[in-house]
Amino acid sequence: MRRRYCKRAFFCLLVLCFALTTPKALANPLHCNCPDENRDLRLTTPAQTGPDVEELQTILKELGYFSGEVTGKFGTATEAAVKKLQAWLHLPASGVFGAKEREALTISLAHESIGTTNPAPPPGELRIEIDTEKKTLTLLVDDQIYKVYPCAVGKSSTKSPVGEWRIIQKGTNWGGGFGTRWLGLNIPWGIYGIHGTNNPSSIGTAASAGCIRMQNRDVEQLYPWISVGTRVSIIGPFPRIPVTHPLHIGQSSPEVQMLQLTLREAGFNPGYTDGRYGEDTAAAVSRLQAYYGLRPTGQADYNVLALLDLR
Amino acid sequence: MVKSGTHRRKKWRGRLFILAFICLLSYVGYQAYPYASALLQGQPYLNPRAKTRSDETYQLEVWVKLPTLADTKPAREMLERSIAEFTAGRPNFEINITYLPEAQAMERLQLALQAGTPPDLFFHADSSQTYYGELQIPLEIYLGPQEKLAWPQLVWQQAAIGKRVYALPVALFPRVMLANTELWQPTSCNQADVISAGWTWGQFLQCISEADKGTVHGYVPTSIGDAFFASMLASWGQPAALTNDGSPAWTREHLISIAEAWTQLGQSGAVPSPPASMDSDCLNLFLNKKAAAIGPLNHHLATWLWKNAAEAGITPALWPMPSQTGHSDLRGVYLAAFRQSTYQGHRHTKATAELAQYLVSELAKQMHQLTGAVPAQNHLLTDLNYPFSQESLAVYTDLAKALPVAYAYGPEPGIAARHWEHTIAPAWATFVAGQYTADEFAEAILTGLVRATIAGP
Repeated sequence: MRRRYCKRAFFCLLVLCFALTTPKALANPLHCNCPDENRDLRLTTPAQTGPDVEELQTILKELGYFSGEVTGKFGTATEAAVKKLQAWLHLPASGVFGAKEREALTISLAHESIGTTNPAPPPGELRIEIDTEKKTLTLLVDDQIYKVYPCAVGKSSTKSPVGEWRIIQKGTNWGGGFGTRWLGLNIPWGIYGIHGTNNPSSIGTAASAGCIRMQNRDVEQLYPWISVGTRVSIIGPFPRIPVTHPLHIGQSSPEVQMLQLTLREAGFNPGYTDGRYGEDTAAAVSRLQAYYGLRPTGQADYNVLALLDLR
Repeated sequence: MVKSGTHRRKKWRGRLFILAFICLLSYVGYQAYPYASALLQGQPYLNPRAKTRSDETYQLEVWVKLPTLADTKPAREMLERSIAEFTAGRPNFEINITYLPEAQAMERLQLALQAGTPPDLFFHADSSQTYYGELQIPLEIYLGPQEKLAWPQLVWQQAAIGKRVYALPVALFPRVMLANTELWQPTSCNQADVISAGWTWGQFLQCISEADKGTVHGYVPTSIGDAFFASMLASWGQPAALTNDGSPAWTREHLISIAEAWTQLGQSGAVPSPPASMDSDCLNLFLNKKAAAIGPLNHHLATWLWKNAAEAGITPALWPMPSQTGHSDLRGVYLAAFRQSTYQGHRHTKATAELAQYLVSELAKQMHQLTGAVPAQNHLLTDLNYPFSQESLAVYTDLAKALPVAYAYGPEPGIAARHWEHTIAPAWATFVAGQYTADEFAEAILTGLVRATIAGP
């Protein structure tokens, strides 16, 4: 089993190298003696031959679609194997191994490699920390850094919501700007999440409408490790929001989050700063009130807002 | 003649011998009395004259509940620096500090006492109980008469249980009121008189009525909750609910008079109405010059409000809370020392007392710097860091007027706090909501306390 995975990984690497070096080779023929390395491979008379055919046969054989000998000659058996491969790739069974097949195979094997050879994160509690200033997404296992990914964060007009959230939704292939994976966050005042992108060059910048963008390959790697409920901290400067009205248990708003962040700064831990006025926030407000000798109601009344300088 | 002289000499010799024997017996009795007395009372004898030895190692366990602060790191660093200074001159002392979270502090102490493994020293920065019974070391026996004078007499009395002091006073938390000097100009009393002689609840009600002018309230309470009730209890001279043997310290008359005073305040017209919400916007009312006075203020709120009042263009002045006894409301926190179930010798106990005596001053300085508490010892009252004016500082630090009774007695550690939470606070809340009469309120508290003392809260 392990050997099979290793072999698959090796071929995945082989195919990736194949896919990556071909356009380079075409762009700079001095590095390649073969002038038509990126040609479509098909059944012709006389039969096509060459190292590219040999490579294709090796891949088909490893995938179990080709049982003959690797000769470097595109024959009927190779055509039949290509048709089987096309069926697996959900492509029309033309028997021609062209650009579409090459791309689809590269992607499929890359996914296969994630599923099989990606090391599982070490056992422990997983947590994500996103730094909106460094524009990085850090995966932590038991509060130890496991891996750091570059990401894009919200623009200055649509900042990513700083606070402590949880993953509440997982989805694949949302397409378009969301890329190949979606990890939704429990932010009460909007739909925000961690997702892939169709604009890889935006990674490392403040470019999104508030979501966290990652390279597709990175979000695909992260996706299977992250379960619903995983904690996500978005850290960075928090814009000061004036709180003009008392806040009560049960409310959800950026003002509540402002209250929570200020409570924490003052030393009264309100639990997660998730914008939800729950039991923990009420308990923190009560502690603040008792600290100043006020009536501990747990409601952020005008006295609490004044003490925290929120008005 | 010769025979008679010999006889006389013999007679005198006999008398001298009897006298010497009596003297010897008296001396032995004097020396043995503390030991015999302790044994007769069923306690292990403590020798205050014991001395620590440099060739012995003393391992001492100190438990500390730091003050509630946004960042407790400076408090930890200060304490550890103090301990390091202490041990620098005593390399044979090994001191281990354990920091307790607020929610667990009293519970952990109680469990440790039950298991016979309490710390040598215990300090709770926010709320201390003086007396944990004979599980404590009466630290006072290790102090000479001059050393005892380091504390003002009434502060010392607040910590005294019978004739003994079991926990050394560290710092005191005053409860005061703040006035806007432009709006607070009562004719029936002035600050100087009140500072020197105090004022009663009746005088207070009179003054707030005089300061009440149309849109400006005479007084706004910071809380209609149990914080105000606690302040009134101190004003009536008996802040602790229970005596040391666990019986209620309050009488029915005592509670009814407090309840009636509260009713008078609610009906005075000088406070915001309705009474059930008169505290809901107290800080803004005062800072926006719509209230002439505000209180009671604890140490945190007094400092915060003073600074904010000054920024709002108010000239503030601190006044003591009214008191029926002439004393001020100053609640102490203490450093307590515990006996170990496995007696480790007189020198170990003496080492604990030495550390306690050193730490009490250090903790007082730290408490003052970090929380604004007033250090309990006279020599630490000279260089205080408060934003208050001279007169207000005198009000705030008037330790000579401290109540001479303990604020929290209890038959077992932490039980006083639980009584408060389960019996006293709910009864007061019901009363201020208008659902109890003064009689019913007194009845609810007394019945609750008796029931709780028998069965536990």
